[in-house]
Formats: sequence, C-alpha cells, structure tokens
Amino acid sequence: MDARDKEHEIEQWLDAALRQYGNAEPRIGLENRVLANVQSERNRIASQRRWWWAAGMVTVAAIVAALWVGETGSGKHPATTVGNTTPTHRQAAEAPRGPMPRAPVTHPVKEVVRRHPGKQPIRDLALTAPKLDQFPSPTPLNEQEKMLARYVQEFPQKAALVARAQTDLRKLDEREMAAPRPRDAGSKSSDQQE
Amino acid sequence: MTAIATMASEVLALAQKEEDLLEAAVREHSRLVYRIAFSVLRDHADTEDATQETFLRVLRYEKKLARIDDPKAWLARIAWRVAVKRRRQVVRASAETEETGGALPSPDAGAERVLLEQERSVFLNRLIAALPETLRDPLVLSTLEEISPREAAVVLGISEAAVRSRAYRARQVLRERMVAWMNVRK
Repeated sequence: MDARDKEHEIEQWLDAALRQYGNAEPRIGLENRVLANVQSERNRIASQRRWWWAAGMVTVAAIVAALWVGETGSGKHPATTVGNTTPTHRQAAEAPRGPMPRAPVTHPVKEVVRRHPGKQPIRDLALTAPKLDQFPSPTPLNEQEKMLARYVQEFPQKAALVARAQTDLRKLDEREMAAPRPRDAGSKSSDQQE
Repeated sequence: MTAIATMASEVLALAQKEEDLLEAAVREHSRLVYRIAFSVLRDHADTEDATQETFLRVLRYEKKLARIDDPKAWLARIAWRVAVKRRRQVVRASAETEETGGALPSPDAGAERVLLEQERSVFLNRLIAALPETLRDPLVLSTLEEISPREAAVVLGISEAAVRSRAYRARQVLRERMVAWMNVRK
C-alpha cells in the first residue's frame, strides 16, 4: 500500500468518523419532555403574572383608600382643632379667663385621626369636645357641699359670722407670713460667718 | 361590549397560535437542537439540559416566533449559544471520549479491527477538542447533516465562505495529525 492509498483510506475514514461525530440520537421521548417542561414553565409564568396583577391591584386599592381617607379626614377635622393637647399648670394659670383663643392646627392630632379613622382615642375626643368658659367645669354638689348650703340657708347669720371669722383669721395668717422673720436674719448671718 | 369580546377572543387566538408555533418548533427541531448541543458538549445529560434550556429561552421570546423568517437557523443559533455557554460552565475534559468513540463496527469485523476503530475515534475526538475554536466550531457544525454552510454561517455570525474555508482547514489539520499518529503507531 503506497502513501496515496493510505491517505485515501484516512480520508474516507475521516469522512465517516466526522459523520459519526455529529450523529447523536436523543433518548426516546425528548419532544414530550421538552413540551412538558415548556408547559410547566408557561404555567409558572402565568401564575407569577397573576400574583403581580393581584399585588398591583392591592397597591392601587391601598393608595386610593389612603387618598380617600385623607380627603375625608381633612373634612372631618377642619383647621379649628386645638394644637396643644395638655397645657401645663403654669400655662393654665397664665391663660386668661373666658373663651380660649383658637390656635392653628398642628400635625400630630391630624395624623392620629387619619391613621384610625374609625376608632378615635379618648385624648382626641377630649380635644374635639367644645371648650367651656369656666374651669373646672361646673359639677353637681357633693354631699358635704349640700350640707353646707343647707346650713347657710337655715342659719344665715351664724354662717355669716363664721365666714367673717374665717376671713379675719386668714388675713391674720397672711400678715404673719408677709412680715420679716428675725430668726431667718440671724441664721443668714451665721451662714455668712461660716 | 361586543368589541371587547371580539378583542378578547383575538388575544386568546393569538396566544393559542403562539403556543402552537412553539409546539411545532419543538416537534420539528428538537432533534436538531439536541445534535447541535451534543456536538459542543459531548455528553448526553448535559445535552438534554441544554435542549430544555434552549426551548425555555424560545418560550421567553415566544411572541417573536411568528415573525422569524428562518426559525430553524434561529433555533440553531440559540442552541449553539446555550451549549457553548454550558461548555464554559461545565468542564468535563475527557468524559466524552469513551462514550462517543463507541461507533459500533460491523459484527463480522475482527477484534483487532474493532479495537483499532475505537482507538482512532478516541484520538479523533481528542484532536477535535484540541483544535482552536475558530476552526473547531465550523468543523463541528459542518458535521451535522441538518445544517447547511449558510445556516452554520448564521449560527457562528461569520460569512458562508469563512465557514467553508475554516472547516476545510480544520479537516486538513485533522488528516495530517491522523497520518502522523498512524505512522507512529506502526
């Protein structure tokens, strides 16, 4: 066998081998497996889309509800709400008698109302109640007060005497309290010596 | 109301048509996709995975399928890309040799002949794997009888002439090395 025959043989073998190289057969049922996989993926995508739709709808509904609540909340509580919730004793003392001046609306009260439109907390109810001219609010007399009133009605002269005596006593006390105390001055000088 | 119903039925019909197109593509071209993937991966399990992945990718572009002029070349290109990507991920150096070298010779051939054939096949596979990518890819695609040089050019993104010349050069390299190997063996 000369070189040419050998090359020819190799050429033929190479042709066959390369044909064989690309000749691969899949296992039986490849199409069905692929189709089943495609179908399951399709179902997965569809369910995912449904979830996205549902989530989107819920979000939109929530936004619409929030807007609606905001609108109705601002209608319910016009800008006449008292801003400061609980005044301190000093503020209460300094405040002039008579109708309370209306302060501009502040945010915290409004926000609380928006969050719970159905259930108003007690603090808010107190704020929304009308302010009275007299503080503390007039309440019915208790048992002792009633007895005192009865006594004054029955014995007005005695009651006037008692009242006058009490008034004199109180004035005397006040005068004593207002007068300078010599003992205080002594203690102060001793402090300075120390 | 009637217009909405008509529109809905049209949309449904379109979706059904897309599904039918994909199913037809699977039935018609799954074997080709498998062979392309196998020519790259040389492993049946990996090849099956790559085939599945190819059609899942097609599913993503299902709406496009109706507008594709040459679905076969399009699918071949996707399959090629998926397989090449997978080959980079899964490195299985020599797993293919024993399995794919088993081209069954005729039963009446002698034992020596059978051994020689197997040895040659294994060596050829190694030679092909050792080729540079620019030569190997056109050669591998040209071994597939379903793929024409034009389609191979579409898959590889080069000209048809380049496919032919590179496949020819690869073949020459293989022949030279085979001759050298056989001379050494003798």
